[in-house]
Amino acid sequence: MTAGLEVRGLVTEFAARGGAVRALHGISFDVGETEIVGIVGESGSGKSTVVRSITRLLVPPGRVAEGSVVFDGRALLDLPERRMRELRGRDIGFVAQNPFSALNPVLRLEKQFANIAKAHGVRADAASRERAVALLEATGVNEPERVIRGYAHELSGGMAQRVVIAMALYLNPRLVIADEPTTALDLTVQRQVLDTLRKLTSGSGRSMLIVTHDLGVVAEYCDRVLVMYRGNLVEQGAVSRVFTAPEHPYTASLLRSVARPAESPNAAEAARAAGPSDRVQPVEAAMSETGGA
Amino acid sequence: MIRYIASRLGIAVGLLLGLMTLSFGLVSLLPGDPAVALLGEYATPDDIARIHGELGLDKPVWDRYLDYLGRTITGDLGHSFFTGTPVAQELWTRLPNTLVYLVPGLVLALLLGVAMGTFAAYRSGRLPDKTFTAGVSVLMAMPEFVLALLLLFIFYQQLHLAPAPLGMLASADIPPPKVTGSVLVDAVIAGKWKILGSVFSRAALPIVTMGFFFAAPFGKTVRTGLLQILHSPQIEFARACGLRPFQVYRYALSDVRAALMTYMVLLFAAALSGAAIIESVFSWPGVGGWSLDGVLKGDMPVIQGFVLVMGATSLFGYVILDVLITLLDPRARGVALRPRRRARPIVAPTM
Repeated sequence: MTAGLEVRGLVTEFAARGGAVRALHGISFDVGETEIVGIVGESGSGKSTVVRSITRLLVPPGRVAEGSVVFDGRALLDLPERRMRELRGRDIGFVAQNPFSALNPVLRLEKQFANIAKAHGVRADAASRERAVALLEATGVNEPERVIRGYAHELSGGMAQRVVIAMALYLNPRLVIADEPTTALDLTVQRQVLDTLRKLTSGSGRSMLIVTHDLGVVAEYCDRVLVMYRGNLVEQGAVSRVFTAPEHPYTASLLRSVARPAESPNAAEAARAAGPSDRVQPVEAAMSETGGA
Repeated sequence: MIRYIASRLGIAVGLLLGLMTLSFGLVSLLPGDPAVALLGEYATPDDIARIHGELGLDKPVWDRYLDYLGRTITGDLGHSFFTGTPVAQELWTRLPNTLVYLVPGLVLALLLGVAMGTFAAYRSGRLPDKTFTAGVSVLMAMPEFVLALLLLFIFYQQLHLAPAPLGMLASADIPPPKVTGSVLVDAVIAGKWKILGSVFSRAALPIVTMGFFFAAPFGKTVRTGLLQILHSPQIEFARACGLRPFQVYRYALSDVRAALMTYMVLLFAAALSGAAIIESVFSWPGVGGWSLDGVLKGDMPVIQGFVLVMGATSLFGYVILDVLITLLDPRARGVALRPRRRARPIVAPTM
């Protein structure tokens, strides 16, 4: 893997009274160009910590203790914060989990787009605004010209998440990192948003790392999958291989826990019929069982 | 928008009426006879009756109430029992003297508080934060006058930087020609900038006292608010979009803004009614010392006037606060403005 993301031996710790608590125990994986990679795992398995470690958005007491993250030939963990900031938004886009808590509630959306442009030395003028409107249109926002003049709270959840996606893609990043991008949305909207996200990422030559606890999403949208359990990457591989022949017992139990067995990569068919999050409940129920084991 | 502001003002007027009733009630409900307070314990019944007549205390309560409302609305707050000067005039000459140190003091407190709170929040858990927390505890535990005396000790007694705490003007200062009665306003009118400078050099210590004293609550609000928002998904997303640290800070601060403004008004009201302490320490000829004097002597018109003006000022502050917060937050703006717009046809005929 040359152009994409290369993570090696990532160890993240959270400082606590009487020593640090390890959240990640040495994670290694790659995200190739135009590849969509999913990270699955139960709550608290460290999915989100992986994302925050890569983008260096961890807040104290969290910190990356060991490992390397190379993106596009640059070692992210060694960059000064100033250079890292320039990379965020411009080279690495981030799609937040809940659009309403992510967007600034008191600024007009056009102002928020303009601030992103200004932060990266792009003039905030009519042309940059036009690009924001075009991007909103591409993400499927109705009446983008009206929406961009308004505020976040005036939008529906699906529309707000599209705005977040448009902001993440505003400066044309090559890697998009999405942290459970559809958890906060209605079932019917989830699929539309995911389709949009796929169209605008790998469909446009970008790569994407998507965190989810929804196996249906992985089955339908991802090329490869990383399975996390208690801060470890227990299994990774092509979706078709992992879903048909899981090597790790945790992966196997995860797959078994899905109500309609997703034994073939063609689970997409079933997912399309049922809607992805039909599967969430049973998965998590089973997870809590295995979590105790 | 205008409709919204008007509705706020309407509520304020209603409350003001309640306030006037309250201040009227002070005289009628409190024990003690003003005439006795005025004449002393050895007054003859004839004298007391005469004073009752002069003050209108022989009339029924209802008449006196309406009388009081009428006079107050026309700006007549009565005369001091002891000095005989009109209360309204006294207030107008003294209020600017209080505001001249109170407003800059609060602004200083805001700036100090925001600076310290920000510093503490960004260094949370480390030495600057711990120093800040300790400092705030000390400041909050310290009464205002102790702080004032401490500053006087350092800057007047030891360093000889500050003038003596003997009022607003030096004995050598020639007061400006009397136009409004307020030294400050007159100095501005007469263009006597030297006098104004003299006043501000004397106001420096009261301003610093206020600044430090009220910086603590501002700082605490900023620190708590920033800590919360800096760990929020909103700030995480802002950082993930690569916003510059200062842009991120502005996003975060806009979240704390409303709380700060609320504090500003609350503290303004508190500072105004607590002005007596600072003014006693610095022999400042403001409303605080004057009202304290009135309270101690039982000078009813003075107390009433003070209560009324403090209350009205606070009410006015709250109206401005309400409107500003609503204007600044698009979510509140939507809620406040939209139902009104829809209700217009129903409301219109009655307006």
